[in-house]
Amino acid sequence: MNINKNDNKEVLLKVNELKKYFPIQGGVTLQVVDNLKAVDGVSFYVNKGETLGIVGESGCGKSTLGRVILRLLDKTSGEVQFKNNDIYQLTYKELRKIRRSMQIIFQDPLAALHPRMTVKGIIGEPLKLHGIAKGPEKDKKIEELVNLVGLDKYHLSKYPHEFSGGQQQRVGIARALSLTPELIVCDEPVSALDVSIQSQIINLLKDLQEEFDMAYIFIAHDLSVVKNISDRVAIMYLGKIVEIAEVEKFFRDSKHPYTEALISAIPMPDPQFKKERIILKGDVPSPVNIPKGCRFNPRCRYRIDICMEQEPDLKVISDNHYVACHLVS
Amino acid sequence: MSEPLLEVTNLKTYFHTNEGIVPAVDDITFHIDKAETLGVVGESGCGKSVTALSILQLLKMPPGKIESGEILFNGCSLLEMNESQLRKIRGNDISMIFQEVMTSLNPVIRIGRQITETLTFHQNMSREEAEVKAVELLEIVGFANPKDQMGRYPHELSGGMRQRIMIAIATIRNPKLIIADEPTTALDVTIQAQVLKIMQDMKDMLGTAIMLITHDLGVVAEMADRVIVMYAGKIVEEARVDEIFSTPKHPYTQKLLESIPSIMDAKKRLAVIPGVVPKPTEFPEGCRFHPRCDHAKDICKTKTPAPTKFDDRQVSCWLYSEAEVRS
Repeated sequence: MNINKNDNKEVLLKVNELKKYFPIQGGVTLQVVDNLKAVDGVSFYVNKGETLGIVGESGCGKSTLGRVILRLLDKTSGEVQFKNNDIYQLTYKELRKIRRSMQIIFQDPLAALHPRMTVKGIIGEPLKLHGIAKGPEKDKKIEELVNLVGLDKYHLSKYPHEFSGGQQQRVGIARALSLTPELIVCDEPVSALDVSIQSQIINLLKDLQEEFDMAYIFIAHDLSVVKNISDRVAIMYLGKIVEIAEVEKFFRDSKHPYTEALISAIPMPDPQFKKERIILKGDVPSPVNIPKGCRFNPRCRYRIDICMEQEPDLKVISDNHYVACHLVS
Repeated sequence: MSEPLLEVTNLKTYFHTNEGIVPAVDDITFHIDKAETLGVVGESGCGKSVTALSILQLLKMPPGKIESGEILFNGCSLLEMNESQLRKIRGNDISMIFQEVMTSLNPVIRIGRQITETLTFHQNMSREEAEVKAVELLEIVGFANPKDQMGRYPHELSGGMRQRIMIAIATIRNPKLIIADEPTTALDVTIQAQVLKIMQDMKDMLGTAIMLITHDLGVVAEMADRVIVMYAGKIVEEARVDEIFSTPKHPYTQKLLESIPSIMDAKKRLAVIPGVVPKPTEFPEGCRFHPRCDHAKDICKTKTPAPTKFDDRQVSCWLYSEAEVRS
């Protein structure tokens, strides 16, 4: 698929036909018997300073995608271009340099922070490794960073386990910010948090974006959260993007049957609100045995013959709105 | 007024730990009517699960201890029953669905036996009869080929399928009350929709009352008839579901509703409850919400508010206790 951009914003990240397969070994000789196709041909772009939400159910490959983009996992094939550099063509040295501009925030903040390092050490580590600041200058920078994320100076000498989940996530955000990145991959950053803490972190991420003009790839399973923070939304199903659109269009005028079902499945916090609910049959198939044709066809209520034979391409249907479905043209 | 099925009065469940006494559930009173769905909402550590476990006395004791209070089920006091009487109630009249399905099913026993066990144990039904009933039930909870499922092990099933098995086990004896503790939290939205629909269908079919514990206000809006909101071991508000969402009275409920992002809203800044949920060992004096409350007054810092009644709803907040005194 070719993504033809027709807005005039500057592209920061461009992903082209990216694939990540995990081989499954079997038999006595451990030969590769099959592949788990976690990411199976994904293309999209992210503009400077914008937020792209990536939504999907568990096992759809959204977290793997986030890691392959940053080359934390190796790709199987495809291209990732960050500021016109192909990430996978870079040498280790060059990669390290460019990694400053691309950071990640994880879902489980406690697991992502070193348990035996103080907050000061955790936030200072990237500054030290990349040779950005030393000594008093570094201390000053660290203090600025903790203030930015809403923590206090006296938190610096504490260890991660002494914090609540929300505060731990703030430390994770401060660490990601320390190198003033241009892109942060946020992998389910609020799903482990309580509702009242979720909104604090979402607001913090928005404020920081405004201040530093960073782009986010916001990976989540919760459409309501994604709607609140994103400029554009991409829906993933079994390793493929089935629809990408601007957020407003997305919720008003989504086209893919899976998107339709996903939106209708969200319980509304309003007892007066009655809507037709589309209950999808069955479970998400295994990414080892992906159905032939359109991968959504066994659960789709609009299925026609061609859906079982041919895989639909992601096509443009209007400005910045892409859908992969035979029924939409 | 409809008949109460379960009445909990002044229940206190404390944990006696090395770090001190933890008042996980502190003096709560509520009831569930027959065939009613009661939503219990609150954030982690507010005591909603401990309340559920206290009802069936499934808490590990010690360190847990039910300090005082009364739990009446159909007029019988559950706290005065001995273990064998309780076993008759559990699974028979009151059953439970947990969040972690993988840990509530036995990994080395086939699905079929786990479902029929309840029948053979409680009803002295023969294996064959029980199996017929189990297959019927699996069909009701949406399995396409129920006979094949009977021979499978829990790890062969997906999360949504396991939760449906749990619903089958919980409903097989036509209980009067099902306590569902975060039944869909670990599931994806489309699977959550399937499971919620099955729970609703089962309820309509059997006339079971449900105590639905969740932190997801969307799920509550959809399923519950009445809602209690818990914060730090206390019930802060109780009302019909439409009242909770249209006219929340307690500042915590108000803020909670404002702070959730909704797909109906445009991209906007979310309301925020400042601070964090207090640790159970460090619950503040007075109203436990006061350090995070915009309306906190002096009295909130020293005295715990008692529930103030408004027709069929009640709220524990000094804002209303005073208002009532004045009027």
